[in-house]
Amino acid sequence: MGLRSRQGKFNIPIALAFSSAGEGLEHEEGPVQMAVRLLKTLMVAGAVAFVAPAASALADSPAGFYYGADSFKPTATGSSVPYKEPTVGGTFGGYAAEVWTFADQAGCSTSRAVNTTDVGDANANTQQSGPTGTALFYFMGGPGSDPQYNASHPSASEAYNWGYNQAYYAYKYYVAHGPTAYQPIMFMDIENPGNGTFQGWDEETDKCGSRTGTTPIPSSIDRQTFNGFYNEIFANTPFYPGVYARQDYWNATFGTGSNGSLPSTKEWTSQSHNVIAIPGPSRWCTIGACAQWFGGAPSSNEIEWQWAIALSGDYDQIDSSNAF
Amino acid sequence: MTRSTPAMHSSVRPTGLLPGSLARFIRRLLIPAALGVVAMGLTACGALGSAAALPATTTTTSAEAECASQSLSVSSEPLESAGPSFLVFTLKNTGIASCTMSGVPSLTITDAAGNVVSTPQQTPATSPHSGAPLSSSPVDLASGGAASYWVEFIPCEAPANDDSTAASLSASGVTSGAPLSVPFQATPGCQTLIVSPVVSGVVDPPGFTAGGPAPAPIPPGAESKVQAEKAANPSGANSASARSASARSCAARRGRPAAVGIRVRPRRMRCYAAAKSP
Repeated sequence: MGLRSRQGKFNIPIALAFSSAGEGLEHEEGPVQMAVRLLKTLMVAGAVAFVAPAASALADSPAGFYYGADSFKPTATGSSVPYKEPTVGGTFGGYAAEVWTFADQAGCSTSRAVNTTDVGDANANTQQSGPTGTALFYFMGGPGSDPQYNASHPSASEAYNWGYNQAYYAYKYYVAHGPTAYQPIMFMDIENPGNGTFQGWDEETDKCGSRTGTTPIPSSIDRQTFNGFYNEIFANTPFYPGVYARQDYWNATFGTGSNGSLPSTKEWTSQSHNVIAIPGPSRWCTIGACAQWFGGAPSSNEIEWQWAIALSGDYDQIDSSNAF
Repeated sequence: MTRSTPAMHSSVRPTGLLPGSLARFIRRLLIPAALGVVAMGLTACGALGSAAALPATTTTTSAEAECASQSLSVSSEPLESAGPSFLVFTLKNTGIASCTMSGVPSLTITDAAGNVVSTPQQTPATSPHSGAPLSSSPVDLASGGAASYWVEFIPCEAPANDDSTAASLSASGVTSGAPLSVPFQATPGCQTLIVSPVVSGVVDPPGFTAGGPAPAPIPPGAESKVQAEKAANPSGANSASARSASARSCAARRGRPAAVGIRVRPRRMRCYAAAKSP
């Protein structure tokens, strides 16, 4: 409802203005020409109406909700506070930067998905009341990516230790190299990237993420790795632990029982999502997609939703009332 | 691994520093000190950088010595931040050819008199970053390559012999070794040291070289909110069933004899979970 209301309010005047400026009646026309002109006008008006949110500074809604981004792109716009969300408009309310990955830690790669402009702009926007700033995420390896993982006899303590150490190094890397995070949440990025590499939650991999085995991993073992990471962040850093995942992937990996239960973890979901950013969502829904949470998370832990994974980047929505 | 074992000598390349160079280097860097220090020594000749002058304020330092026809630099980066104090040591081959190291690094805790208090036998096998264990077979450090190691002080749990315990971290058998020593300020008194190799081998480790931009502090408002939420939610592990497994693991570990004053990172971790209340 909120979305449709915004479109009706802003787009009709824009369409009329475009029509009158571009289609002046400078000569006489017959019925056919008039029909064609009207049709062209309507088509242009429709197109403008479709993209109008990009040109207008629409805010997310309801109060406390903001648009944001993560990883490499999109990049916030503007030259001063408040920086704006690209494509859909509104205040750039938050950003999530990749602090490091388990493959980086193993020396397999060195890249981090960080947009330094977004880091600065998101943090700067916290000068205003509401925006949450930059948070962090760590592309995490499951127990199957631990070089010491034994698929025949998986060890709970080994799995726990594997997660704990990842958190330890994630934070140490942050201390040494940033980026500055004004939103003190460290998300575990738990996913199957789908690009031929794996994270070791449901399979065995080498230290760089190449699959080496397909023996199923018990959800209880996965949970140990999760808990190890959680505990290190919770107990020994100024950050609060969070998790990024899809609901279906989470359920398939951790189950829907106690091993998948998330009573006290800040949550960032990417399910479901669109492949274009527009229209921006209102609350946790937009046309074609709504946020689907997982692990039975209480609503107070519903922090962020990646509503669009588009060619222009990852678009997120943040509920600042649940953030720090 | 101690510094004078025959195995170490056998792994050393035949070329190296002249004795005179070694002596000059020792005179320049190794000055006895009362406070604990960590020194990284290239110890194929049995020399050990056991104690060194302490700067009032530790900054990134470096020294160089020949490694065959190349140079090998060692540097340290103190990272003063909240939480445990730790340092990152980086051995970097600045020469044009590879350099072979073995037993990289070995860690020795000595008391003020230079007596060995404790020496770990190997690096944690569970570490995903242990390209080479503490007592390893030779590691080739290619030209431009680097190997980095964490050294961390955490509150002492098993008091060492005396309050002036010193620590010596030595990379053994790099060449016919001049000792390289990088001193840093260590808190007087009982210390527990952790050493963890991050990357051994041919490339600069991505995260642990010096010079990265440190982040600005988290705004006090946000940090206080986090602390409040943690206080309201002390459940920690987020799942009772999962916590119990970790607790069992830690309880079992407590029965093991521990090395005096030394713990190696991954093994330490397991006991953190059990220490927290559910």
